[in-house]
Amino acid sequence: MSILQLFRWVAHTPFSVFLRHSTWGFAVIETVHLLGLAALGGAILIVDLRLLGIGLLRQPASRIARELSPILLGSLGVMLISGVLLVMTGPLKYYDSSSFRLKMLLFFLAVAFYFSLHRSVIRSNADVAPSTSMSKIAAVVSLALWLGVGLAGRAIGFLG
Amino acid sequence: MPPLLHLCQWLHDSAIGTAIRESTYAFPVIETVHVLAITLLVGTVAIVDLRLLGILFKREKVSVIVGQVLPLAWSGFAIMFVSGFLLFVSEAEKSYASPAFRVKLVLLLLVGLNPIIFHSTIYRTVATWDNALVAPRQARTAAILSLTLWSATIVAGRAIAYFH
Repeated sequence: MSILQLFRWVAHTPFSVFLRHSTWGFAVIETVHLLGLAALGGAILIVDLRLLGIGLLRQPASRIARELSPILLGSLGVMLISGVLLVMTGPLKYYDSSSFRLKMLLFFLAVAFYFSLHRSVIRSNADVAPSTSMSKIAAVVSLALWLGVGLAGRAIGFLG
Repeated sequence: MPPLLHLCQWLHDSAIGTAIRESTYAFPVIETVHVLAITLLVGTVAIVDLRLLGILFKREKVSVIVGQVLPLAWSGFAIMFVSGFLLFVSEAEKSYASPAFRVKLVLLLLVGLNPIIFHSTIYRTVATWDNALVAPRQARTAAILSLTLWSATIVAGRAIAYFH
């Protein structure tokens, strides 16, 4: 089954039809998506700002990341579920949207980076010594990728 | 004419309001900055709230967390306030009539009063409960109010675009 066929199939499911015809469906799910963004964005920012030498400097980056990990994973889950539901409000509209395609690409890169290289950089920051330039680069790449996901997401509603 | 409506019309017709309204990209760009500033402000405020509730950084002194997080929260607040004001100016007439916007202003007032009350009352005695895993009840109430009011503010802010 191609992705287009999958999106077509989803568009015909009763739940997708229900969401599409509901007045408040999109608005409510979008609001939940935004609340998830506040929590996820906050958690990512605080860890990456710490790597850049800003904010919670008296705790090692690895501890901050460990403390914030439930919030990060929880809000990522909320954003994933609400995001899938948003797509279900109009699968073919999203299939045709270049902003959406860019967002999915950046999201994949951001998640892959966060759970691989970024994670090993975090592990190497187990004390309160100033960050190495490697850690700072990792923080900048992470912030740039997540910012890109957000901007591409905003562009779906604005550029299509 | 109600003075507030008059003020909103004046802002709406101001050079900056008109420029943002007539530009293709200004509004979505400022709006994106506004949302990013919210993640910074609410993210840092939530860390303090969750420390007070004994969920995050339990082994750290409350005052150490508050002290480190405040500069970030203030930076987020400044960016959020300026970008939010610009968004408001560009559609001040519409905002005046928007129930969601009015609700949001009331919520912002409450969410602003909360830390003022917190810092001028229970936080004055922080030295006596700085190491406590869970803060005293009054501080926990402030934390729950903060998390609830900020979430409600975000919901009301998003709703502005849905109630025209």
